[in-house]
Amino acid sequence: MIEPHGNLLINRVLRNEDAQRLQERSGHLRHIRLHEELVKDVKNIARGVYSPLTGFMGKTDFESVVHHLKLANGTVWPIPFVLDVTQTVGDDITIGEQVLLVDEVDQAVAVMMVQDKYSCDAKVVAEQVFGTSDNEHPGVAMVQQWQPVLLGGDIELIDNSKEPFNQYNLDPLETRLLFQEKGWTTVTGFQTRNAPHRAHEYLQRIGLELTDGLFINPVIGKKKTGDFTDQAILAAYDYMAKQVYPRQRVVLSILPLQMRYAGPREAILHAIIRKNFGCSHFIVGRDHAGVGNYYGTYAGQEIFNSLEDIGITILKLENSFHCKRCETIATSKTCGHSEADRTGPSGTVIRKLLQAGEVVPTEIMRPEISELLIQQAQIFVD
Amino acid sequence: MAQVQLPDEVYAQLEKIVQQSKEFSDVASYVSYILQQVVEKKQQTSSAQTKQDHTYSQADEDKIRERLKNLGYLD
Repeated sequence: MIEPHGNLLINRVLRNEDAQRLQERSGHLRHIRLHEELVKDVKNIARGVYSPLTGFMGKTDFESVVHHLKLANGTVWPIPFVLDVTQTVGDDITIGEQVLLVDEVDQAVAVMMVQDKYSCDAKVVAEQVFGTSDNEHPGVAMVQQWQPVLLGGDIELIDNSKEPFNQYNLDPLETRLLFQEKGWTTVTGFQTRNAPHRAHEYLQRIGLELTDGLFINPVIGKKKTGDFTDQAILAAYDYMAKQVYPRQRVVLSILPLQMRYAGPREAILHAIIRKNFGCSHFIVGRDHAGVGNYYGTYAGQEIFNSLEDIGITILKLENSFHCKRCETIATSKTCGHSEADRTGPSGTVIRKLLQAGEVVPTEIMRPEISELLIQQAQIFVD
Repeated sequence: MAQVQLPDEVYAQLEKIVQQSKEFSDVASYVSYILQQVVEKKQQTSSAQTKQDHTYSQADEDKIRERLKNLGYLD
């Protein structure tokens, strides 16, 4: 089994009795309220999804990540994970203070030992991490909205609940044991934010051909208007995992994560996360984690050419399409016909058809997937 | 700011490195950078050692296996 990133699978989840004891004793602690997406980060840190991170980054790690794509100890890490607080709270907090992180309804999520507090230049961070300081970029907008004081420190998780979608929510410890039980030594990780169409299927089959198993790992959480809903994505992939692919060779599990749309840097993060889940291979296709026209079509693949080996094999796969003369899905590497013979999986076309209750052409999407999506209470985010 | 004494030959070698690399303005900032890295690494190691407390036992592993079975991931 592949080693976790940084060679240590982090586990900051408190056992039930310890969590309960800590919660009882935490009444006097300062409360810091987290929005939903930050709660996801806290849980991901604690469960080892972001190994080797043990908490929110201190200044040394933060600056090293922003400028050098590495933690201060030299481990490759592309995206800063920070806890931002107001100036008033920041001024009041002392280093070494234990704080209680609570969710939007004041339920205890975790405790954090504050080990560092600092500030940053949001414009510099945006330019380094996202390659732009344009506020239209959702990741840049997120950074620009950070409160002025950033806190770093290790966390310990009190609330290990996994709703919604508990039944599809596995930790790295669980997937690693699962892969081991299945006898898989090589596993391809597949990242998605969409319901599957034929081109996705083509990439997934390549993974299945090359490795012992396929780990389908849709990102669940905050989405943009017009994106597939989490329910629709899961319903479609549940069908793929159970009715299309050999059941014993596929695992479907979600990844609750806020997309930063950092393109190439995010592709590295996604690869590291899948490495922590136990994947030996990771598919990076076209426009990975991109948004608008900020990144080149294959920027998510190219960044790995200049990066040291991060311990997971990147499957850099071409844009795939249906070719009417080949009568199958292909890429420019496998099909010599002209553009006129090719039909790509246009998101706009798929959306339009499904919204009208129409089945997408079968060369683009499996008819049973189209029908299953049409039956969903809500296919797309309003 | 605290002062630390270094053997002359070490200082001379560091001075050469600083001149060649051009990343640091003087030996003091270079040494400070290196020591900061050492402290960071040390903190991470001690943090990593803390994690051993959370290492999963056979009983925990059995619980995970049970959950995987209940969810239909394992037969």
